[in-house]
Amino acid sequence: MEKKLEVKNLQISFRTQGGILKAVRNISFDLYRGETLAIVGESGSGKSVTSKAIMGILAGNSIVEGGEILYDGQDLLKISEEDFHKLRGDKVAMIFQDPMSSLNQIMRVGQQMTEAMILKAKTGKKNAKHAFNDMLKLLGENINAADKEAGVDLTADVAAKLAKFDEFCVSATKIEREFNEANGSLLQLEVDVDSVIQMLKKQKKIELAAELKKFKKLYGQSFNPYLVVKNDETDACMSELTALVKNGKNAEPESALKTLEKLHAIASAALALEKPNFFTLGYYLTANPNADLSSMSIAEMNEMTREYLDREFMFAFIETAEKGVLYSHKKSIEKKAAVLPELYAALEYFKSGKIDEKTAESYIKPLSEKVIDAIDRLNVKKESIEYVFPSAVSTAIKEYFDGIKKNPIEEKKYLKNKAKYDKIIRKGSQPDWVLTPQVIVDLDLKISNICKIIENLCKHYESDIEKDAAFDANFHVIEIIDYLKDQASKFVVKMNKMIAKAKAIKLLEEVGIPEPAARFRQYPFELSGGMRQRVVIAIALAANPDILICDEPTTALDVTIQAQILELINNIKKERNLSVIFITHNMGVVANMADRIAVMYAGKIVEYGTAEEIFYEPAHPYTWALLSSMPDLYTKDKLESIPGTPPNMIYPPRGDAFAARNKYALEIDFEIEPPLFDVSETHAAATWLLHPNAPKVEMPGIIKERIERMKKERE
Amino acid sequence: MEKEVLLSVQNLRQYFKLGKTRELKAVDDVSFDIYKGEVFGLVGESGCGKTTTGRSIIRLYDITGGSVYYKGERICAGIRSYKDAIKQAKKDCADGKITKDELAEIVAKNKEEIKKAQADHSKWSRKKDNNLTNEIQMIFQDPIASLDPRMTVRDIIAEGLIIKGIKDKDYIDKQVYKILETVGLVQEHASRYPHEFSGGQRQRIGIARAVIMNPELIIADEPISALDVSIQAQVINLLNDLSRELGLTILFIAHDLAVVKYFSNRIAVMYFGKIVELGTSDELFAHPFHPYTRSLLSAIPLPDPITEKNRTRIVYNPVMDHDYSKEGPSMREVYPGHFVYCNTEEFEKYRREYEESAK
Repeated sequence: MEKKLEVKNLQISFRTQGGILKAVRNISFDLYRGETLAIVGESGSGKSVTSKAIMGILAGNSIVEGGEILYDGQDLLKISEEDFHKLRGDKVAMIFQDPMSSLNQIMRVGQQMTEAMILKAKTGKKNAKHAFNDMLKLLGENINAADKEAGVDLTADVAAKLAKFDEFCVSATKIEREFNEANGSLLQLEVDVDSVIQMLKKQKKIELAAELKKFKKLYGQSFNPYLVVKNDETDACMSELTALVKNGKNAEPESALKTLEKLHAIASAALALEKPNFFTLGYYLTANPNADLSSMSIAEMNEMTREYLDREFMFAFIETAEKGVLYSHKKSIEKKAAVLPELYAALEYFKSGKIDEKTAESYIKPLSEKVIDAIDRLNVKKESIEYVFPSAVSTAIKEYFDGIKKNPIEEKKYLKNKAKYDKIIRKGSQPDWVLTPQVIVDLDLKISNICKIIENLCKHYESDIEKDAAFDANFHVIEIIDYLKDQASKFVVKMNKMIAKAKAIKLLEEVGIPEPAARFRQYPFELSGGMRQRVVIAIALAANPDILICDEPTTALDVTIQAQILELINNIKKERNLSVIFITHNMGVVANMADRIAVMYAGKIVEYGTAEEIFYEPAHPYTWALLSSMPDLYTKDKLESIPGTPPNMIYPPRGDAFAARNKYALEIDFEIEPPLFDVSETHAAATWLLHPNAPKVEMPGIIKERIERMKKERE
Repeated sequence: MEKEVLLSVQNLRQYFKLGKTRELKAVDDVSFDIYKGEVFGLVGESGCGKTTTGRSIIRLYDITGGSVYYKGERICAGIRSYKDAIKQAKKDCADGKITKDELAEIVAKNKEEIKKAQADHSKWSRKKDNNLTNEIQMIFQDPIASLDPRMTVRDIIAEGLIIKGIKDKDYIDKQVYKILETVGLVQEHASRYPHEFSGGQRQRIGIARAVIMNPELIIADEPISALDVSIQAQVINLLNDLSRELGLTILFIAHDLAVVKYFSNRIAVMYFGKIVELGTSDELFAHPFHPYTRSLLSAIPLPDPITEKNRTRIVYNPVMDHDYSKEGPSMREVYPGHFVYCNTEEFEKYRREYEESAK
């Protein structure tokens, strides 16, 4: 299975009035494509903080102490806010707990849904044009350099090839633009016709004449050789529509309804058609401007044009481009090999522990430049570890030296306050202020962070050099071409208010909102709780994300509506092959949703495993407590409640954080924190009870009975 | 043995005015009895009127129609329904549907009722030494919102006693400390403020405030839905112990069916202002008749991943599921102790279903 997201040793703290609150303490998990990972725990266990870190929306007083969140080769903790804009909402979307507070109350539902779509299309266009031109230029430079090294001068030939590539991309984008425009009109037509048909069926009053006029215009715009093709059927529909429009206000609803239904059928059929491959089509049409392709189906056309392009141009182009890619890669590997010893020297220096600011800088500054220089820029899959290295390492170093400067001051302040506090205590009265604990920067942790960054880069370089022999230039060239193709089609995206509206209405329909066209014009407060949450889900899905984070999406909802929303999320997950992180404290909901479960307590994952393992063979006392604290339909005995409250994480307790509330706690639990013990390959729990020397402890009777009953029921 | 009826709600109506002409029927013709010593659960989705019912009983609202009897005495009486009846009769008279004599009769009868209701109503308002306010207490949903942040815990808990007219400070302190221990807090907590407590402890304060008056009936309006998982069990256990030790009667309003099932003796299911089904909790879950109850039961999430993944939810659509064009529904007893809101045709169907399952 493909890993979508990797969280490694994540540590997050919050600066609060009372001191540093350790919210997430060293957690790691993976998220695979198409699976649902549920994170369970009570409030304050750090589950929401984890999800917010993935979204990059941590509060201002948060400190990321260490760790990595890897998505698509990027470390989300280290990329800039600018880069996050490209991910947030687009690749990673989030559904929040309270739909009322995550929707804007003074904006209509439709406006909120279309806002992001329109903005995204606009900025996307600009960036795509730049990216396309830069990449093409870079490729040309590298090919020329390679030729120069080989002692031949083919500059003119290369320039001609690149120009040709550019030329047919332009013609391809022209076709695509026309197609997109027609497609946009058609989308609007389908949605609007549908709503008018509904209205007519309900015999509501509408201005039929105006609507028909609009439809005629939209229909006229939807004609395109690859979409609504001119033939007898479509022409007949057009003439019927024209007749209706001519009739004007006297148009009879019955006959209009018939025509509209025909129109709707045509529109839906055209929208379901396969898209042509504009890239290859563009080349074919530039080469044969008078070709007639109307007799072919789109699949056949795609096949034919692709073969034509490969034969006539692409093979030669790839061959040329390969030279450039190889050259760039070779140079980059050479540079990397040269930097590697320096990196190790720097690592040695930081590991020694005796570092001062100036030497550290003298190590890092030239290194950063060299690392940036060594990047293979023709590699489309950007290795962010190389790109972010300078900023990451310099921040880590700055934090360390800041700590060195501030720690003594902080300590002095604390001792002074403590003396004052103790004095009052000694007098026998209780001070009316709280002694704030000292905020000491953990210098060892900072050093280890620096070392880890350098070490990671070293490992990355080594693996790159190792893989050098197996470098497949052909593969990389094809990736570059795909990239260029993507960028080219991005700058002809057609998006305006009307198309966005049509898309939004389709989305609202997909999430199960009845009469989406009417809801589009309403305000969030006019909708019921379940409908509101559906709107939030629709907004999250608008950008077609890879990962969906649901932060207690049903806690504010009723049982029946909760079931509906869960079903909806499950269906959408299946349809779009989404990866879902589902955060909740309700074990029943988890059973419904999760493929895998991670149970969190006091900022740590105390148990993880597949849903079956957690529910049928829970191993950690906290999981037992969670399962037994809620009654199910058969519970008759007294509930096993968890005594006390979660610990204050400003002063994390020694040993196991759950020990104080755990009636199965062993003596060692109060002394040493238990590591994760593997129960099976996919299942592990952090409790000393799993240690071979631990006394045998049975899970509480209430769960045991329940599990046995569930087993029996299944049989 | 015949059980003693502690609270009897009859034809309770609570309409809220929306604008000048429109009305929201929050509670529409609801009747039920609560027996002494039982826990009566009221479930339904939000907005179905379960909270309004609870609040109407302790007269936080002036009810529109119907009556509430507590220990046989009428404590709430709605007047507007009688007034509406008079208005309607006058209109009918003007249209010529009824004669003037009939009108006079109807008017006199309703006026009589109004007088009676007003008398009952004001009796409980005026009577200073009545025990009603002591005997019915309420626990609210959100402990943060329902506790005054400027009062210490002692003041909050003792407020009821002081209003009752007790001036002996030592007695009050003793009572407060005793009740704090009953709900699982300690004496030292008395001098603190609500914000210094965790969610579960705050709800315990809310419970202590209600219990100190030695009530007979407690109306618990979603007392656990604002709490954390691990705390919910603590509060349920506490309420369970209290009801057993002190012999309390509890009207338990909640939307979590598993909790209501665990906690209640009898359950009423509400849907859009009406009780659609009422029965003992075991019976109701074993033989749900009304389609809405079935849909609710099918939506309960269970801690079992395999059955959960194969679960099919039943969708309730009032238009599709009932045919009330010929005959309107009413509350009928399908078998002793189990009431369903249905018409004759459905009643026969449910009866058959029950007899089949009983075999």
